[in-house]
Amino acid sequence: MEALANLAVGFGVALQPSNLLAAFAGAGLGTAIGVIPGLGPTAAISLLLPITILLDGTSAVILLAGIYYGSLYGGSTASILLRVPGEAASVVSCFDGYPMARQGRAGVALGMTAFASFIAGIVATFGIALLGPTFASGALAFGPVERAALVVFGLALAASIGEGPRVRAWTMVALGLLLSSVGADLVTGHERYTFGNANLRDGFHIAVLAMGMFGVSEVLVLAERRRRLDASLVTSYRLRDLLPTGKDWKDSSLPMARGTILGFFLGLLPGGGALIASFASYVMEKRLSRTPERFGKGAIEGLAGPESANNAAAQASFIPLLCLGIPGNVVIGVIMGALLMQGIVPGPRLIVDHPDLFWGVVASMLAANAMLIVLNVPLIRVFVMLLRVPPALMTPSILLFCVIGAFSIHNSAFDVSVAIVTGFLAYGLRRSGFDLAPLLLAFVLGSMLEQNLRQGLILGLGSPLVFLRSPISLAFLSVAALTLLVPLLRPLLRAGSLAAR
Amino acid sequence: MTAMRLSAFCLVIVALVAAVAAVRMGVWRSGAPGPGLFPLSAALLLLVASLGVAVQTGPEDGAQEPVDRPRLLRYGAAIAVFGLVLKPLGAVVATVGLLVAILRGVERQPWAFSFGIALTLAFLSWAVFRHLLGVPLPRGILGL
Repeated sequence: MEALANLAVGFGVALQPSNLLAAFAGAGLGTAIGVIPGLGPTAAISLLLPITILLDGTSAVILLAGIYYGSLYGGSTASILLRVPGEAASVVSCFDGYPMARQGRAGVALGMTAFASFIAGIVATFGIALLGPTFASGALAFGPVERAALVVFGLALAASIGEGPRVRAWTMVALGLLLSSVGADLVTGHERYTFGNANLRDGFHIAVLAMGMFGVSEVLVLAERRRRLDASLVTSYRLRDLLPTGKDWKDSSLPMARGTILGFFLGLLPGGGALIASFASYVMEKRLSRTPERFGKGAIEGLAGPESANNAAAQASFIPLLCLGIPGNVVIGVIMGALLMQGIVPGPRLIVDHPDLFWGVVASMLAANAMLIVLNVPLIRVFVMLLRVPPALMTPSILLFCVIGAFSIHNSAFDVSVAIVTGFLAYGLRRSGFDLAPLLLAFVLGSMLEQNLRQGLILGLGSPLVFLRSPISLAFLSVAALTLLVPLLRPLLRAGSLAAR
Repeated sequence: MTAMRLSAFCLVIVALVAAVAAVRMGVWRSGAPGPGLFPLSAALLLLVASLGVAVQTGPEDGAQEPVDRPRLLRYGAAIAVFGLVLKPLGAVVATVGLLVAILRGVERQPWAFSFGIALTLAFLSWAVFRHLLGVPLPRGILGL
């Protein structure tokens, strides 16, 4: 009850005109930035940092948080319409959102994205108010050993999201891990697979790879033959007809609930956040589905779950920052910079010393999510109408979008070359029957795995047994082993039971 | 040889080269993991998995629909040339060149339409990224 009373105080702060304006501006700016590939929330928030010094601490954080949520929504729009992830956490929206758009269901996909994010946002806000500070301390039980085991579990699941035989998915997982190791070693500074090229010292950027793998390779797929616009796919452009139907809601309700809970807890973990949460939710939905073969071909569950998860995780990732002073990911790290510029030190004392800021920020999450709905639902019709652009014009426009987006990440022509080369290679892999989703997920998890694996081994004085001594780690590794072994043993068990009969 | 097998053999070669390079980086140093440990593990996993794909027998699920190869090659060439000339020619000139090459050369759109669209999109992207978002797009020969 105390938490709800505090939340009520927070609403008093969040609903002040200046803070409402900050939430509105943040959500709007974030959406616009998210739609444009390349310039993700980190860059946008960094650019706006000097402006936040003119605002008070609460308004500053509300503005920057609004940009973060808005960019997640905007990024999904580009993923659904063009298969170009506007920012890294929106990669998963390509998997089923884009096929939905190709089937004439872009409005449903965009609508479900907005509503799933909104619902997850509401639940996460109350979750944060009621459980956040308590669970933030619990997240500290996750040291390098436990995190490494969690990532191994994630990789075992990653192999299950791909199309086709499991061994192909493992090939892509391995390739993703190998790509994640490109660049200077964080411990020794040793250059790995850089071939003396200074541009590769920091490794590949996830958004550049995603634009190449999904955007450029899709341009090549679209270029395979002359296509005509299929105007019969969308019969009505009235907003009412474009939004999700009762069946869509029924199919999406459980994935949304699961995605919200999963995203919330993953968001609390250092190193977690929207990207990992959306992938994890996609993997979970595919595993739980009775018809996993629909995933990647326009299954609404594959969109609703991850969209809920990434929004819940984005909100929950504020808790380790505000309660413990630990930024869980880069975006939150930059927001921490904004707080420090205001002379506010995030950490356990924040909730005591600045309750208005803490509860105001929590309550403003609800306001920002409501504004995202108000801003974006009317725009669905406009976005769907964009798909009426003829393919002859749309295909080069997507390419242009990808190329300039890739350039804008580091202002580097080298990144453009990486996106193009990645696109060609990804096209070859796609045509050979490989699915790229496990590759990208393994790439994301790879650097996390290496860092935690090495720290864990150092903690264990070089002994890999350290990963079996922690109960949390042992549990994750056991489940990962089961995930690997069950599909291998199933044919043997089936053959055994047939022989017994 | 099928496309799947060919890709798998290419990945086997990548894995072997990556594994040798990883061993040279140092797998274990002074009782602690070295910079090559993780890349070596990933390379070995890639080697085993891609060998598994290469020996696997099963239906090909890529390359189902017919492909207009000349069209695809023209698109590919336009993209590759764009990547090469972006910096020396600048974003505006390279963008106009790319769009005219695709719209006129591949999509067979009228010259005036191709130029009109190319100039409009190049100007819009230049205005939005360079001036609105402050992205320093390559200036190139026009100095824009």
